[in-house]
Amino acid sequence: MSTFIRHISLLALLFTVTLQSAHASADIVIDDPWVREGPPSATVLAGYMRIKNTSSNNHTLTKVSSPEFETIEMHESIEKDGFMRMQKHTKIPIAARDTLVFAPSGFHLMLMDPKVSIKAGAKVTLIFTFQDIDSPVIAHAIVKRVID
Amino acid sequence: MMLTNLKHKKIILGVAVILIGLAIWWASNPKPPVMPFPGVTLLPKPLSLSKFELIDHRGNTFNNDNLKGKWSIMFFGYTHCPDICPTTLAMLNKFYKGLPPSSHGAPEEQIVFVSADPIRDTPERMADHVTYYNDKFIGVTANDVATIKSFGEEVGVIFDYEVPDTHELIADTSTLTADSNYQVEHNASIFIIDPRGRLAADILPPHTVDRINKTYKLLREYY
Repeated sequence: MSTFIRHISLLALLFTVTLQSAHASADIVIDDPWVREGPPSATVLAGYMRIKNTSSNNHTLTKVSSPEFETIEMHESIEKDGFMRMQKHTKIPIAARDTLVFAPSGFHLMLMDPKVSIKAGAKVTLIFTFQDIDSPVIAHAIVKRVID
Repeated sequence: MMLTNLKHKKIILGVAVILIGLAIWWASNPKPPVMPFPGVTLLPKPLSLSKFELIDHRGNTFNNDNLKGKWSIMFFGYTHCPDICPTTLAMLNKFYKGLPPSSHGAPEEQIVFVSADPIRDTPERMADHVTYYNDKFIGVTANDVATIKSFGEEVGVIFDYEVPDTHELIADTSTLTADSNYQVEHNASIFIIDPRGRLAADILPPHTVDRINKTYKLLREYY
């Protein structure tokens, strides 16, 4: 009987470990996160990075927040026939082993209403929430002055 | 039979007149050079702009006269735009700084950033915005949406105001205030205005310094 319980416990443990590894924040690697510095009066800034899904599971990014900003939205600049529009996203899937690129003129984080002055060289904490990962992924974006 | 012949002669004569007319027009209006890349239009005949009166970032009047005597590189955007507008302004700064120095001192070019969002973009806000990129840049706005819309239409820009989440069109902009949450959808072309204040070229995105440089160089050779 005790052997049976031991086997069950071992199985349960294995199951938990497997589950944890499939849903761990370690599945995600945030590369080169940065925020574009804006003019002093700017109330809206953009953030960029590469989000790598290093696991063999698909993941879905659902939210990004930051203690330095009131609100963050995920947007995509879309150009069609010379017309620019901004498309808001609330869920962005990242396939297994795929990388989601946030870069100028494409996907970007729209960082709204800064609570502190955001100057070049400063760091911005970005908290990424995924639908199927228990703990959020935290990245520290560097503020860059890009004017030419 | 006679009538048919006469009709034929008339038609032939008519066609001949049209062809001669076209040939004369063709000879007197040389075509602009063929652009080596797509998305760039050089107007065969520069387009004069109707009378307009806007406000620059110093609070001064900005009208047709402000587009005369130098080449203007113009872009429409708004200061609440976080991605495309800053990227384009940074690119225009790189283009501007790379221009050869003028032989007679004063710069031969000016960069004009026109706000498509005069409700939020006051002259003070435009000043803060454009001078961040380059203190020579000119920011232009207006007292109301109608004024900037009619100027936009002259140049060939249309823009709409919409609800961010639903993309629902806000037809009545009089309900909007500086605190309203809305976004502006706009053409992201870069325009080149000649030193007589006439629209000479329309460059579609994606924008690169190289594309602007090549277009500007071709325009200068053509004129």
